[in-house]
Amino acid sequence: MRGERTLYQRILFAISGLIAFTTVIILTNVWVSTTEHARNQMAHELNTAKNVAARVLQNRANQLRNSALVLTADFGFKQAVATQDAATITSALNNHGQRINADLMALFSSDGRLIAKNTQSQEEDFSAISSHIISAFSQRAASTTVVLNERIYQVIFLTVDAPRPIAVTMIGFELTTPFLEELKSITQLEHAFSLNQDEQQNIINSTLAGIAQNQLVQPSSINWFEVVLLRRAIFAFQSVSLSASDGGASLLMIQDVQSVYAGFWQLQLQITAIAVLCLILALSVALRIAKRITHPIRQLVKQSQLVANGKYDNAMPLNSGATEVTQLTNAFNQMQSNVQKRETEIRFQAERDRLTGLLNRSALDTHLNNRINEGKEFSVFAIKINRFRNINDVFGYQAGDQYLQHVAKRLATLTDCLVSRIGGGEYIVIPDSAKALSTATLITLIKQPLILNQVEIVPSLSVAKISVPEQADNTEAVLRRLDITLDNCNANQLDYLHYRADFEDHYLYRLNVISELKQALANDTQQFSLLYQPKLSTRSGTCEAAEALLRWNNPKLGFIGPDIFIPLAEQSGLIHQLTFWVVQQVLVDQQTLIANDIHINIAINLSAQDLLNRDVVDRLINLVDKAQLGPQRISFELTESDLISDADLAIENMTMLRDAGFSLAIDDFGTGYSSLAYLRNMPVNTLKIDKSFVLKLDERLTDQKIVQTIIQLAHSFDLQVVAEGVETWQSQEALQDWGCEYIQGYYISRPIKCDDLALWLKQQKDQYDFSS
Amino acid sequence: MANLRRFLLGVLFFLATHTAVANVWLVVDAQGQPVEGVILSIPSDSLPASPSEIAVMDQVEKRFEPELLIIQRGQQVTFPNSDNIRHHVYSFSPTKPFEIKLYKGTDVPPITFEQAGVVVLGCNIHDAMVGYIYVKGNELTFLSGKDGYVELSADTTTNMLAWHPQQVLAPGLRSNVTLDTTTRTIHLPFRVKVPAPNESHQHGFKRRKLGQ
Repeated sequence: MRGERTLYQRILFAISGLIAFTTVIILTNVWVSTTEHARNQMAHELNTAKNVAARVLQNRANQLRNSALVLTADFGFKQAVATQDAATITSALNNHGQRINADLMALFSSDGRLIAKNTQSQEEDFSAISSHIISAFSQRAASTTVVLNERIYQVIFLTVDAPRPIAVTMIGFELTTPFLEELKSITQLEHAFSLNQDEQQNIINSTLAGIAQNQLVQPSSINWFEVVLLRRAIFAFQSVSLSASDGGASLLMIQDVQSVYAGFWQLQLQITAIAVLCLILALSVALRIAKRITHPIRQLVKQSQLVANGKYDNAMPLNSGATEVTQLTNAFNQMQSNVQKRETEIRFQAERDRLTGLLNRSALDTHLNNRINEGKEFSVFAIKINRFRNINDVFGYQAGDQYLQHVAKRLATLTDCLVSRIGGGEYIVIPDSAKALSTATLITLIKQPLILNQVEIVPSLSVAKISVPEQADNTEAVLRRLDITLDNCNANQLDYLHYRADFEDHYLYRLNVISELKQALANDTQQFSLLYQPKLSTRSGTCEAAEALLRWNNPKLGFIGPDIFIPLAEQSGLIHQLTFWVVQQVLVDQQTLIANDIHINIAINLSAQDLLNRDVVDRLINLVDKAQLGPQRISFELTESDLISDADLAIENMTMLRDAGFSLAIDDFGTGYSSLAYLRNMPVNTLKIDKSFVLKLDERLTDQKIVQTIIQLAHSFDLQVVAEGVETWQSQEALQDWGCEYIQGYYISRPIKCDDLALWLKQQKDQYDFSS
Repeated sequence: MANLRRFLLGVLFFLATHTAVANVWLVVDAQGQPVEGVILSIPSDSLPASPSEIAVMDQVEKRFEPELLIIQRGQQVTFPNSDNIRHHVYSFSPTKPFEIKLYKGTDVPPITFEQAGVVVLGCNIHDAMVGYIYVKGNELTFLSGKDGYVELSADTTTNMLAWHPQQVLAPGLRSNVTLDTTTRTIHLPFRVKVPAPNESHQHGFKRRKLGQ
């Protein structure tokens, strides 16, 4: 996320920002106030200097007046003035001027006219100051500064009173550098005189060597940026106009701004340094605080990642320092332990079979995988309750569950063994070591009788064993091969088998057969062919019927016998398709035979699965119907034993077929647990005696008795009899004698193709015709 | 105020001209202020009788007493010292320069003022002491009274001169005046400085503010 910051950064930024802000405020304040203070101090000093200058000038004026008074109060001088004795006056001015070291001495009349002056003032032109003189006359005394010949003078005017004013004496002292030095010695400020020369203020005297007017600035217009940062030499000044009327002369109080600011600059520097130090200190404190706050949180984040990965072992330490964080840590630890507890429960439930409490299939996979990965040799046992579905059907599901629980309870008593139930009636036992469990122990344990619904039953169980990794090196293979082994147990009616490699070869072969069968049915029915074995009527001596026999020649697997692929087709649900194909092909062949003027009944073998499926039966009737051949040309043969599983439905569907006009035969009669009761109820009209009784009929007396009895029995039920496997003349003769209606076997003909059948029948017909 | 006063004076004048034969004039200075103590002189052919008595210009508590003394030309004035300190009375006026050096008591020979004119008296020791002696020649003099009114008892007013001790002008000068006959006002060409009650006659030195 953009703009997302860590808590640590946020705290750090907030604190440091605040401190930096405060610091800047303080610094700015200090800077502004010190600058202001410097400015004020300077203005104040300059003002003081101005007042000092005024005071000094005043004091000087007073002193000058006193010394001037000496002159004007002199009676002789008064007399000289009153009598206008010019020579005497001039000499008096000279004399007095020398005595007091005055630069200017002059006497003026009341209207400002020069009466006399001392020799030093020869060149002065006093007309410029006549207004001063006239005003001084009326005021009787005055003190001022005047500019004469670009020199600045402090002058005293005093009237000469006799006793009323009759003239004005002027005494002047030039103001030059010594005066400025005197001021400087008092105020410590630089001083200068400036004069208006050629429309321009020029400095004419100064205590500061080489200072020029343009270096001076008013305190109010000082650029502090230049002073503080650029450290320019700047001089602030305050000026006092000395002669307002002349306009030109000014006394300047000058202050070196840098020197004023130096102290403040030091202060600012110190405060800045302190502020920076404080900032650094505060930052480091903020850093520590932020760290202290965020450290436990980071720990928590790390810990929660661990928890997310399923590691619950580490509890967080509680000494975080902050109550909230401690509470959070506490809550987190609590949560962690709760999550752990719940996960344990969930895992238990996830790993366990609900019914038995044993490990379930997925848990078994995990454990088995782990064991395989350990790389050590071990054995795996599979235990399967035989025909478990039957138990459910017979005793009910509750009893079935009890059965499963009983077995599970027994298996659970095994020590050092991992026990799991992986499906309906299937258990897996993995001993921790070869010594932990022997096959015999296991079989003995589970074969103990148990009470179910107050009925004692002996469990019918198969046990399979496989050695890992020798015989299977992955979970899937282990379970599959155990399954194959169990199937083998079942097939061979055995309690126990250790897996052998050929089990799987057979299994794989069967798988291949199923796969190829599926393929052939879908895409290549050419692989199938029908052979017909004629049935000879013993009465007429002619062939009136034949049995259709399915043959399969697969390009990959070669010739495959029906005894192999028919059961597989039944198991894999392909049997219906196969039956339909046979029926259609028979119908096609019948058309060919009819075209050849051959009219026989062809028997088709139906699987029990076909017969027990109402839809299939309907479709068979439809197919034959559509061919419009008439039901008398098709008959069906059924194997008796297969029908027992659902006798009622079988009888119902058989009745349908019979009602449709088909004749039905019981195939392989005598091999299964034939029940006469069924025989009575079944809507069949023919019995086919199994060839096992017929093949050696001429040799075995018992077979002769059996066959004879069956024929009698059939006839007593109004059933016709077909004998299969007739291979000798003697057999034929005997059967004919006993009243068997039809005979079938190599003696008559082996199974032949449809075309050959037509040919054969023709020969037979000819032969018959010939013999008759 | 000035207008009110003018009005009242006008009323007074009206009453004066209509109730009496008196020839009353108002004397104002260059600033239009009524002036008291102005000596107006009109030339006259009739010489007054030569005075025989000696006028006295006394000095009491460092002041000339009287401050203004009017005498006839050729009249003698004596300068007794009534203070118990010494005085050094002098005059640099061209009318009569003289000097009586430090003295005490009344035993001082009188001084004769031969010329008409104004004499300003001073004391060399006490600068604040200023006195005036007006020496009359062939002339009639009139002194304006309080509020600046003066009654001229002369037939003519031609060539009238005016003098005042506190005139802002050279102390010895007498000036021509302008007469306004309709308002009966005599206009002095100078200003008269009214001395402050405690003004000491010393060289005051007003502090002058720098930069002004």
